[in-house]
This record gives sequence, C-alpha cells and structure tokens, in this order.
Amino acid sequence: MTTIAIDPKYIDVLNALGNVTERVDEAIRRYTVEQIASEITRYRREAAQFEVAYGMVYEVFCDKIAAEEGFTQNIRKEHPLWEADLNAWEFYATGLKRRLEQLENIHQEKKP
Amino acid sequence: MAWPAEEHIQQLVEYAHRNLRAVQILRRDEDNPERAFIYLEGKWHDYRVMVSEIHRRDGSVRYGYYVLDKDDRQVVGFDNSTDVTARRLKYGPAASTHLHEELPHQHTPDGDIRLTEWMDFEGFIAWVEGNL
Repeated sequence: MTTIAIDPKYIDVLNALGNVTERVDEAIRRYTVEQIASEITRYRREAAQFEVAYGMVYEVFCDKIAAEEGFTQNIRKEHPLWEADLNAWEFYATGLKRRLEQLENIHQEKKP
Repeated sequence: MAWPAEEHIQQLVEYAHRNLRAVQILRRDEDNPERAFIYLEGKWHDYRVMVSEIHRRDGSVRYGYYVLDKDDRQVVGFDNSTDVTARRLKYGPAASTHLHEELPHQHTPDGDIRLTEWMDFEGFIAWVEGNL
C-alpha cells in the first residue's frame, strides 16, 4: 500500500460523504479504469489496422513467421517491409493484452 | 525526465534529422515507463530509408532498417526479426528449437538473407555511407 497526500480542502467534503479511505480508493479505481479503457480502445483500433492488412491477429502472425518459411517468402512479396510493421503491431497488440489483464485484475480485486 | 526507451527514441529521431533528408515520423508511441517504438522514413541521396525500432519492457530491442531505390525496391535491409530462414542458417536442423529467437540478419536485393552482428541505427547509417 502506498500513502498518498490529499489536499485538506477535500478531506472535509469526503468525510461528509462517508469513509475517506473508501471514497478515495473508489475515485482512484474509477479513474484508473477510465484511463485503461481509453487505452484499450486506442490500442485495439491501432492493432486492428495491421490485422486487416495482414489478415490475422498478431499472435498467429508471429507463429507463422517463426515457423513457416513459405509464409515469410509470400508475405514479403505483398508487404516488403513487414518487419518494420511488426514493431508497431507488437507495441499495440502486447499493450492491449497488458491493459486487458490490468483491467481484469482491478475487477477481480473489487469482487468480495 | 524522459524514460530510457523514450529518450533513446528521441536520440534516434535527432540522429535521423542529422543524417537523412526529409525525415518524416510515420508512427511513434510511448507507453511509459518502459515501452516505445518509432517508425520513420527519410532520404539519403536518391534512396528512401525506412527505420523502425521497438524498445520493450525487458530492455530488448527489435530493429529494422531498410533502403529502397526510387522504384521502391529493397536495396538492403537489416533487422533482427524472428525470421525462420535466419534461424535455419544459424541452427540448421535445430532451428525449430529456437522458435522465437531474434537473430540479426541482412536482406540482400535478390532476396537472400545473411546473418550479421547486432546493428543499431548509427551502425546502419555508417554501413549506408560506406557501401551505397
């Protein structure tokens, strides 16, 4: 647990609304979920561009380039710079996965 | 204060501006504190140069540096993607036991692949200046 300083002007109001710790915790939870949801939307949108261009999801593409020599040769004909695309694609696909896991963790912690 | 990955990307962009013409950032994103990527292009004489790097949370980097001629044909490329041909060159029949290993390699104009040492952007620019 990390201690956070709260501006005294909020303390009286929060006290009036109920337990300060619970209120602050809920506010932080809501803010974090909102931020993560926003990033999930953005990452999903960016990753989708590559999924459309290459006709598959990132994980399948990685498996194919790692294992199928014919696939790599064919993909190079259509996308000569696929390795350059792969860096951006990885950024959004793995970022999306991480954010979804973080969101799941927050929801899990909320459950009694 | 910039995070290490973000700082490296910024230095790469500045180096690109010093060594290439008409530099354009095609894509760039940071996910602090540890992840960042860049995809830019620029001109070197009549050649089109494409540069891509991703810096990951574990500190590893995947890079791709490419030179295209005026007809957009690849003249040379250096990257360390998990290329199955590169793994076969290095490990032969045991390539499948190194499935997602990233190996530095060079793409030649005729479609061949050669294994190389690790390359960074400065090394790539030096190679271009010495060989093209």
